[in-house]
Amino acid sequence: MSHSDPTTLALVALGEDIDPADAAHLAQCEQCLTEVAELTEVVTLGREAPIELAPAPEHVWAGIRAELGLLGAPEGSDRGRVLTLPTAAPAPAAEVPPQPDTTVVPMRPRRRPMLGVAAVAAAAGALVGGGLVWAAVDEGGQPIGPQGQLVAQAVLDPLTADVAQPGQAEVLDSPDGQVIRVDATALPARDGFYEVWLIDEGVTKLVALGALPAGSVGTFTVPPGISIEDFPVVDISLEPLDGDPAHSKESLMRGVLEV
Amino acid sequence: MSVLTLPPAVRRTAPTFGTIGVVLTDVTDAQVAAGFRDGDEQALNEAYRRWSGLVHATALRATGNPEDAADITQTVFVNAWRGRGTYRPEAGSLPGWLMTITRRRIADHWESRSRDARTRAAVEATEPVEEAVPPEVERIAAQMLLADELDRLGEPARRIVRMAFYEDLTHSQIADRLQMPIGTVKSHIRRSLDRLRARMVVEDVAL
Repeated sequence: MSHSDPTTLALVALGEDIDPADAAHLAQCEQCLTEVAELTEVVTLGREAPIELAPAPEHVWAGIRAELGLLGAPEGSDRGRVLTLPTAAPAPAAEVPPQPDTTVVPMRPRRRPMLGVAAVAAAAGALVGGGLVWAAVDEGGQPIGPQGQLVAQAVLDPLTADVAQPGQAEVLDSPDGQVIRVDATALPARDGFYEVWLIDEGVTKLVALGALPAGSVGTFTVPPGISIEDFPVVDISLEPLDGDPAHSKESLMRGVLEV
Repeated sequence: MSVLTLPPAVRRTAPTFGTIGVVLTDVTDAQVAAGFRDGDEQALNEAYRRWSGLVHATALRATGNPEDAADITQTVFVNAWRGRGTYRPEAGSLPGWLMTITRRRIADHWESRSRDARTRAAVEATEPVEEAVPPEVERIAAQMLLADELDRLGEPARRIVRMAFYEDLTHSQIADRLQMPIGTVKSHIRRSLDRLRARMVVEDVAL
């Protein structure tokens, strides 16, 4: 007699009833029984498992970085040590000739995350990010009136020598949700454009808010579902005109929102 | 393909606009592991992003205490990073190695609990109180690995398996609810159970 259909064995493991012919075969076939026993163990473990793995609290990542002395590294000291993973699935080793360390890693064009689609991108500068959330972006700079209740504010410290004055960020409650008003009048005009980001404390997640013209004040919508308590860091980066949605690693101003 | 055949993950290149913004979804677990071993901080970040939930959920279920679970998670990643020179990719996956460290830290946790209990009993000159029984750490680790792998199943397989596991629906009820052919549901179930089993085998969980 031929063995039971593999899908039937899976259903037995799940505890479903099967037809008598399969049951009769199973009763006398060691091979099928072993298979069922293993699959049953998988099902049992699965049913005992939590539906979601409880994520570690935010402070754990900061604690790890602190304990390993990876926090507070001077600006730029992480450069050359981050974001060095290859992007593409590797070719078999035989086809990869040994390369000196100075060889520039060829990068395949990366996927362009669509707006509103969660994608994992890389973080930047002293931000040694892990997975980043790419949130729906309000096409920034909309002149939403600054009316509304002040919820939080931050002083944005300049991170480069050619920015003399700090900037400011204010989060306001508006009828349409929270908005953040970013004053970066001290930023000089440069090639590329400025982009405003919200970043979490563990520097593992990043939300792009939109572009900010040089020397201006912009108002952005805090994307619904994004809490400034989870993303308290306001960052302004200089982005090259390369169509790449990821953070450029070049942060010019940064500050932490205080409620 | 053995992980040994992967090209080196770490290249010391000066960052330029062209070399940043790596989409880490394209990076395989084995590449993260190789970068981790070689001391690439980005690989540490990525390892934490991928597997801290696994470590933390295991510690949480094993200790029943959120603070202890957070401490253990932190210790596991600190231990792993400092001891990365002893990690051998050819001997097992990085999450498997992290889970080995996790099990040890959980064992330490229970040991120090019973030591404390013995000390208290001695100091207070009372009968030793019944020691807290360490939970079946291996079993818990296996449950969490399974949850992790289940989460990695693509849709609709993940949804189908969750309905079968947690809603206790039969394959025909699932087919009905999802408006899918019964055969499709059945083969998703079978393939998914195979994949879950394969992860258990890779991570050396006795089945």
